[in-house]
Amino acid sequence: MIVGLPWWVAWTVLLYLALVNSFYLVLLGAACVELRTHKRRIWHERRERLLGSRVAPRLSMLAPAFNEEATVLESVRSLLTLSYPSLEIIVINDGSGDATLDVLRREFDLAPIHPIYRRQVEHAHVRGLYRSRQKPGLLVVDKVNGGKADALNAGLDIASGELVCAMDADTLIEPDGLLRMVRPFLTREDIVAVGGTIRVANDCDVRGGRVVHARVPTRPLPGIQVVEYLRAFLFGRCGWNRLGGNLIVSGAFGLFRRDAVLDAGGYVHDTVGEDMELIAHLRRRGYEHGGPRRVEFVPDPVAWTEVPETLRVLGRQRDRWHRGLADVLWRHRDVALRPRYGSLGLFAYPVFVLTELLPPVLEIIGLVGAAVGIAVGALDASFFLTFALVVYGYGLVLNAISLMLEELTFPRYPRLVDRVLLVLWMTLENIGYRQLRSLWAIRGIVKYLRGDRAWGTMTRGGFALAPSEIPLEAR
Amino acid sequence: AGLISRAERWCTSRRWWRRLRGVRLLGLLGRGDDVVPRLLHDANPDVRAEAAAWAAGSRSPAVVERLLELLEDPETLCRFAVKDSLLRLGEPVVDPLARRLPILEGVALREALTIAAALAEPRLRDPALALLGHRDPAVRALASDVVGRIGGVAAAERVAELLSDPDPAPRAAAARALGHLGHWRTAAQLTPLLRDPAWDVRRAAGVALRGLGAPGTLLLRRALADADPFAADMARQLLELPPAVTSEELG
Repeated sequence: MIVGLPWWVAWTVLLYLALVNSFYLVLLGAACVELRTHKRRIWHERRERLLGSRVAPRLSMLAPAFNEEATVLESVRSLLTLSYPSLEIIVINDGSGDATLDVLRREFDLAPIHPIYRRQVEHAHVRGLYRSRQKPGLLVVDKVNGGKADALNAGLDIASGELVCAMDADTLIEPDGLLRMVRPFLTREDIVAVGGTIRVANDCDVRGGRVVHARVPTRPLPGIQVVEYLRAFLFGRCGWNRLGGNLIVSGAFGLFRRDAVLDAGGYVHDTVGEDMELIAHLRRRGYEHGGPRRVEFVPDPVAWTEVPETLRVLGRQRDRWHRGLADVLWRHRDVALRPRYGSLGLFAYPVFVLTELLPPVLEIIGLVGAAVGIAVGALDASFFLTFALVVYGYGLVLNAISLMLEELTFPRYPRLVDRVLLVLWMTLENIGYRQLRSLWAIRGIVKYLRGDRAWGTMTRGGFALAPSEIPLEAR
Repeated sequence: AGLISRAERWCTSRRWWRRLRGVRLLGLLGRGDDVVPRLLHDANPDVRAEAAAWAAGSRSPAVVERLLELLEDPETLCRFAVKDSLLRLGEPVVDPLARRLPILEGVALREALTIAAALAEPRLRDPALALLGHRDPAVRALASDVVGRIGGVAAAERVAELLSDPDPAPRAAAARALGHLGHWRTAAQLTPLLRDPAWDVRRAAGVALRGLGAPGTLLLRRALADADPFAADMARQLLELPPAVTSEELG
């Protein structure tokens, strides 16, 4: 099969593949059990009862905004219609150079306020605090620019809720999303963070800050990302609920116990993976200090977000994600394989290294090695083809099961054409897209090793407006 | 009728998720007086919690007593549902709660005091006053909250004793309570707390002083010249507030 390759190399690769793919099977099984139990628990649940509850935990939404004059009104109006009792919405104007603050001031009749609050985490100077006279639950923090993590920290200090929900400025949360997402905090006292499902909003019919008709994009790039997100959330994160808790909560839609985040020092500024770093830190701190440390994922609350539509922007995003992953895993490397850190150190951390960090590198090495091997006659081409078909076929099966899970649990695509498109994108994902994703991941790791901390630029189409270049961060 | 009888049958199923469906359905239909109370003893926490939520519509004394017993439930979800239902029930809960407060301990006692604070009924004052000397600082703080919401001159004097509590939580709660009670005679006892090592205590004392009107404002002005920089800073922040800012806004 492979001439000239030491036997132990071939067996190591095979063992690694067997372990990783066996883990995916276990994860899938765990996800199925979790989803079934969850569906049974929430059957006709009367969530609206929470709206009249005097013991529901107070919740603060933290919405950083930087140069969002074109979209901030729609975003804030959408937040104001969220169903939750005692909801506080904090928009943090992170030193915008445009008219973001003026737009908010005019539209919501903002008046200056002077709360006596304790500064507990590091953030740039706050220039002013405002409350809306029309909507008393809306607060606006005006501060000097410091980046997303810095803005969230300022919001954390000001917030009065027991729970805080960190979100991206362009995330659209479904009206009952918070009522669904708060459930784990009512069920267990050791919960420190909860994540919800992120879905792709591209091509969806959005009106008044709501996705009224979900549609699968007809273009391959955003369409394949729909499949990717379904797999990551319904399959991956649901499964981790059963296997010791999640290590990631999306920065676009995550709910946290405020005092735990403050005790952990808030978000760190010097990483591009600040959301994952916070989770790792919270879990680790829970083990070290005996506090809450469980991170759960709830599959039914949904937030919609726009995904990149060009290879350039998508590449930057994936490169940044992998840089963040590498950074966080390196920062917290001393939890690895230590019994003191329970399932975090003994299971979650090593598995993340093996199944998230390394696979892109090994895949590209494998492909390049195979090409060279076939070229020099050291590798039998038909063997390689069979091997590749098995590996990619396995990936296809996992994708198909993810789509089935979506269909059986929380379906959002009622049209036949959307389902056909999902099957098409599911099939095409492994041909080209997967390899590109691996290349971007490797680029991210290389950049990380070189010390690159830049966020890059995200081109947004906007849900109702023409495309514009909006720099996310300027560090 | 068919739906109700099916829901009642589900309530006796061996499968927890069927029992859960049965309780939910009966709750939606406004029925279940014969079968759901039994599920307040169910082994499954989701079922117990749902039965507790159903109980918010039942004024039966036996159900209220069982809800109060469930304040000791080991499951967080059950205790949440029980607290919510007890608060929705309101008046029928007051006397049974007042009888139970002296004998509860641990988590159940803390949960009961949270309910007592929300109900703020005068009949709960005496049991809460008796708990101001409890060994658990969290209980002392919660009892202080209850007393602060209910009021009374004698209550103010008892609460003021907690201003020198060794734990910061009761000290802060006592300061807040005295602010709510508006007992200006305790203003002089609040002033030293502006130098407290705990920020929450300093803030609570400062807000309480501001809420006491002229006597409190005078003491805050004097605190501007305090040798302790934290006391002076807290006084300054409070005095710089516009007069229209209320104590409710400050929390």
